[in-house]
Amino acid sequence: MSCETAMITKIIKAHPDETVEDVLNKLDEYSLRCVPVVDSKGILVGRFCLEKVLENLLPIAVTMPDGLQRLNFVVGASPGIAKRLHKLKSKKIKDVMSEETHVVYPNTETWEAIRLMVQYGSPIPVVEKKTGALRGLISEQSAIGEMNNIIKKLEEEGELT
Amino acid sequence: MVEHSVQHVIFGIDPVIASCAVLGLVYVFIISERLNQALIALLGASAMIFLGVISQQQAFAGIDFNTIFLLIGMMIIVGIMKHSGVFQFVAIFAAKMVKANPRSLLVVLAIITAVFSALLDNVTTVMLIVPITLLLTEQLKQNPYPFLFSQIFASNVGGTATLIGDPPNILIGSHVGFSFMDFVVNVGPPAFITMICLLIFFDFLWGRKMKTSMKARAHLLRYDPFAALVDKELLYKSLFVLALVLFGFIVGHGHGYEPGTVALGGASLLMLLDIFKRKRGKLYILSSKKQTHSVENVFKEVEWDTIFFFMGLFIIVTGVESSGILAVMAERMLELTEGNLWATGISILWISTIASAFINNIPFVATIIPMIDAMAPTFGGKENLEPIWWALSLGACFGGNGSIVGASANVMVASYAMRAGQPISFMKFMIMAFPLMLATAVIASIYAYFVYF
Repeated sequence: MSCETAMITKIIKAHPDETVEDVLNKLDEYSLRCVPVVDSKGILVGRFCLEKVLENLLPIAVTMPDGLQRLNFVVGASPGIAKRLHKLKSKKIKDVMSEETHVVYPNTETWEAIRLMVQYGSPIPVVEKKTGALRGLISEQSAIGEMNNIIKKLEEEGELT
Repeated sequence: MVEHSVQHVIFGIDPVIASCAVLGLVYVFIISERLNQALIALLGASAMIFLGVISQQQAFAGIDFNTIFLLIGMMIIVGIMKHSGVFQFVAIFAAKMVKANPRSLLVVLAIITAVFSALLDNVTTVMLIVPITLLLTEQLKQNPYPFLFSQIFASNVGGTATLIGDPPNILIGSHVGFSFMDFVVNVGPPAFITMICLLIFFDFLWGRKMKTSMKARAHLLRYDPFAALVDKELLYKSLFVLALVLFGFIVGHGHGYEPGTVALGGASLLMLLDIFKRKRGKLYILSSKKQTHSVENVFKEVEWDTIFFFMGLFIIVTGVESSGILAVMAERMLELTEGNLWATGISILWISTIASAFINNIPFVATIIPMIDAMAPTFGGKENLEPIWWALSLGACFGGNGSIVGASANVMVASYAMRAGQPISFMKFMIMAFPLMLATAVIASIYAYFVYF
C-alpha cells in the first residue's frame, strides 16, 4: 500500500511570507499543530509547527546544542516570555519554520511513512519526487484510517476469520 | 627518555626524515582542522609503527598512562558532578551577590572560571560556565563577547596554577614527576598576579562602560540559585570525592601515588557512591541493570576523542624522539643560548608562548618535553631543569590565549558562541588577544627571571 492511497489531499498550507501571527490564527482555527509551507509554485519549502514557536520562546542558552538542561531557577519569567511571543508574531514564517523536513513520495510504502511519524512526529508531507511539489499529508489518523479500510476489505473477503 | 631508533625504516628511509614527515603532516592536519584531531593522531601513531620508525613495544611504552588515567578520572568526576547543578548554582549565586551589576558580573564570572579551571580542567569548566553566561547576559541585555573573551583568558590563566588545570601541566607534571603543590607554589603566584592584571584590564576596557536597566537587573535578582541545585546529595558526594582527590594529589606524591592513580581511584569511588540513591528518606542501591546503565552513562561523559588524541600523540612523539632529532634541536638551542640557564628558560617560555598561540599547546608541549630532557647533561642533571619546566608551563598555558585555536578551552568557547549565534571570528579575537597574551608573557618572564633563575 503506497502513501498516495493513505494521504490527505485537502490540506491547510502556509506561504513563507505570511506572518507568524496569521499562521498561528490559522492553526487555532483548524485545531492544527503543524502546517506545510509551500511557495507560490506549490513547492514544499518547510513546515511550521507550534513546537517551533515554543522553541523560539526559550533563551538561546537552552536551545543551542549542549546548552542548559533546566530553567527551573528562573522565577517570574512569564512577562518576558509573552514579550518574546509578541515580537515573534510580526516575523515572517520563513524566518521561523523548519526548513529540513522529512518527506515521502506518492509511491513510498505506508510503513515507511509510519516509521517516520514514530521517529520524527506527524504529519509527513507527500511530495512529487521530481518537482518537490506538495501532493498531500500523511498523518496518524490518515494512516490508521487507511489500515481500517483494509481491515474492512479483508473481513469482507473472509481473510480475518 | 626513549633510546634512539634501532628499527629499520621501510625502504631504508632515514628515521629522522620519516618521523619528521609524520609529525609535520600531523601538525598540518591539526592546524588546518580538516580532520578530527584524534583521528590524525592515531593515523600518525600507526604510521610511526608501520613505517618502522619505532616498534610496537616502544609505541606502547611511550604512552604515559599517568596522564591518560588523570584525564579519564577527572572527566568522570566532573561528568558526575555537573548533574548536581553546582555550576549554575555558583554562577547565579554570584550574579545575585553582585546585585546583577554587569560590570561586577564580568569580573566575578571570570574569577569563577579561573577557580574552577584550576580545580577541575579548563575545557569542562568553560563547557559548563558558557551556557549560563549566555543566559545571564541575555537577561541583562549585554553583549556576551566581553564575558566570553574574559572567560577564555581566565580558564587558561586559572588552569596554569595547578597540575590538573591545563593539559600542558598534566603532561609536564606527569613526565617530570612534579606534585600538585609544586605547581601551586611555582606557577600559582604568576598565574594569580596575571589574573589580577587581566581583571583590571577587562574592567577598564569593557566593565566600566557596561550599563543595564534596573528592570533587567530586577529580573535576574528573582532567579533562585538553590532551584538550580537539582541533586544536593550528588553535590555532597561529588564535593567529598573532589576534596579527597585534591588531598590525594597533595599527600599522595610523597607516598609514591601518581595523580592518575588518585584521580581514577576517586572516580571509581564517586561512581560507587552514585549507585546509592535515596527515595522518601530511605537509602537503596540501584538494581544491577540500572547500575550498568548508570556506569555506561558515566563512561559516555569521558571525552574519548581527547584520550585517543593524547595516546596517538605520545606514540608520535616517541617516534620523533627515537630518531634523535629532538636531541639535535636541543643542542642547537643550547648553542644559541650558550648553555645559559635563564636565557634557555626565557627562550623556552617565549617560543612556547608564540607557538601555543597558533598550534594547539598539547602537541607542542608533548613534542618539546623530550627536547628539554635532552638538555639535562648541559645543566648538570635533570634536577637542574626545574626552572625550564616552569617556564614551559607558563609559556604554553598563557600562549594558548593568543588565538581562538590556541587552546582546547578557546575552541570550546568559540563553538558555543557559534551555536548561540554569536560567532567569535579568528581575526577579531586575535587582534585583542595576541597583544594581551604578549603582555601576560612579559609578566611571566619578569616573574621567571626574578624567582626561578
